[in-house]
Amino acid sequence: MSSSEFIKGTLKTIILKLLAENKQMYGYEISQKVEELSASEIKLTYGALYPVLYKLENEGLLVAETEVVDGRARKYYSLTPQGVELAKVKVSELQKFTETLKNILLPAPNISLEVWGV
Amino acid sequence: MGSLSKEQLQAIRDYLARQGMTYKPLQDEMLDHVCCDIEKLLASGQPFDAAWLAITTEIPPKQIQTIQLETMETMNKRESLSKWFAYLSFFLLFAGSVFKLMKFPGAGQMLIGSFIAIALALISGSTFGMIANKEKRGGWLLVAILVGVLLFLASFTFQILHLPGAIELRTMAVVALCLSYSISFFYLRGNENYLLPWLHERYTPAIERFIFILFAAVFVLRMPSLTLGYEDFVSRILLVITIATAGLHFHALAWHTYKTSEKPTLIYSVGLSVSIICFLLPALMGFLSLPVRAGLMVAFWPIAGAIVAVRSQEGNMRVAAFFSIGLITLIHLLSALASSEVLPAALNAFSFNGIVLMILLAVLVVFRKNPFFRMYLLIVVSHYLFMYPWELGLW
Repeated sequence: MSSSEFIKGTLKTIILKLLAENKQMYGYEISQKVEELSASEIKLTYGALYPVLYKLENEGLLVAETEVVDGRARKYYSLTPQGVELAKVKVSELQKFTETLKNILLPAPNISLEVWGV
Repeated sequence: MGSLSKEQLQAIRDYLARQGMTYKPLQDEMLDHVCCDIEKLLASGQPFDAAWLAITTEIPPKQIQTIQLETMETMNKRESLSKWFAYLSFFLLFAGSVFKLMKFPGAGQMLIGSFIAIALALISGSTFGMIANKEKRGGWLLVAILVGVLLFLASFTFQILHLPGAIELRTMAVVALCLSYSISFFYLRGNENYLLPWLHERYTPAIERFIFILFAAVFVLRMPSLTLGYEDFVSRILLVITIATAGLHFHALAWHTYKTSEKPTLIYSVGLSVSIICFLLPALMGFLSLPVRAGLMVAFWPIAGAIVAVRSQEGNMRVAAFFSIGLITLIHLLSALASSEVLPAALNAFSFNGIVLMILLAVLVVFRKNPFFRMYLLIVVSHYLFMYPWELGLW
């Protein structure tokens, strides 16, 4: 599946959702979690993940703390109160949208047979 | 996990820098991500070289550079007010320099306008940073350093306008900056969440851009006075501002090293405090005579340069770095001995000439990739341009 084109518009919500469920996560952890939950169907590239993380941090939806792990700096992200609220809204919006999409993508009923009461 | 050696970490960091990822916070984060990916492959039994090749092959060309560009764009959209003040200061600085070269009236006023725009950019950026990051500690330290920088700018404005009190303002600025920087080197500790290094790291690309544009402007402005043999007041003040800004940034880069060491050693903190005091003392022109200031430069710069060279360069580049530091020391030593009348002043012609200036610029270009060393060399070249007419008795 070519997931990258679908991911672009939903990545923000995915990150907010993951952080709402986990107290704090770092970049690699987020990408691994997405891969695990999607049964390896969705693989986040570096290029997709980091600009979105910085954007969310800039918008005040995430806060970051750095810790030194194995001699390198690791940045842990968590949601701000504003981020927690937005996560709920965005997840609910995406769920509604997926339902709508599902209805659109369902096979169209066969009109001619319907007419005959089948 | 955690099986990568220091050399392997450095090789990955160098790769990221070569690919165009120079913004330190993002580079740190990408370094951790790439290391985690490599460690996963190592855990499955692959050797480091094979794992490294697999990871780098997966990264499309130019992707790393694109990540940085996209991330910077995202961040720049936010701090619009400070960004616009910074643009205004560039414009006024450029226009003021052109007016000065063309001998049009109003150049001085434009430079003062540029200082005011810099001050407003700093105030708005810091205020935004403090409001948006209330959970981060040490906001008072940011305020203290900001006050020091504003006093510094005010002292030059007073000097351009020939108002009394410029020296007093400069003294207050130097005291405020020496104190606040020294406190920062002891107060900031390891992994804790401090505002000052966080904001500085975030603004580092913009600060460096500003310093290099300032340097380019002052270099052009300085050329007529060097070639035609006269001293130019405005370019002298701009050089002092370039040196001071680059020096403050050079020392602030040390805050970032605190993140990767749990507890900086006492010697490291003391060394940095002595270093910033040695660096700022020569700014007190009214209190220190030229031989004392020249002596400080001779004693301080080779030590600072050697430490930076050892920490940032390897192999042949380290040898070249030490050769450059040797040349810089020789120039400082000769000028100090000549200004103390130990050696004849005519000897200065050997150290202050176009060829040496070109060599120093070439060294700056060669070592442009390391943030510490390029800032160190930019200060050296700016100081050289500052001393040039003085040493040749042109003023």
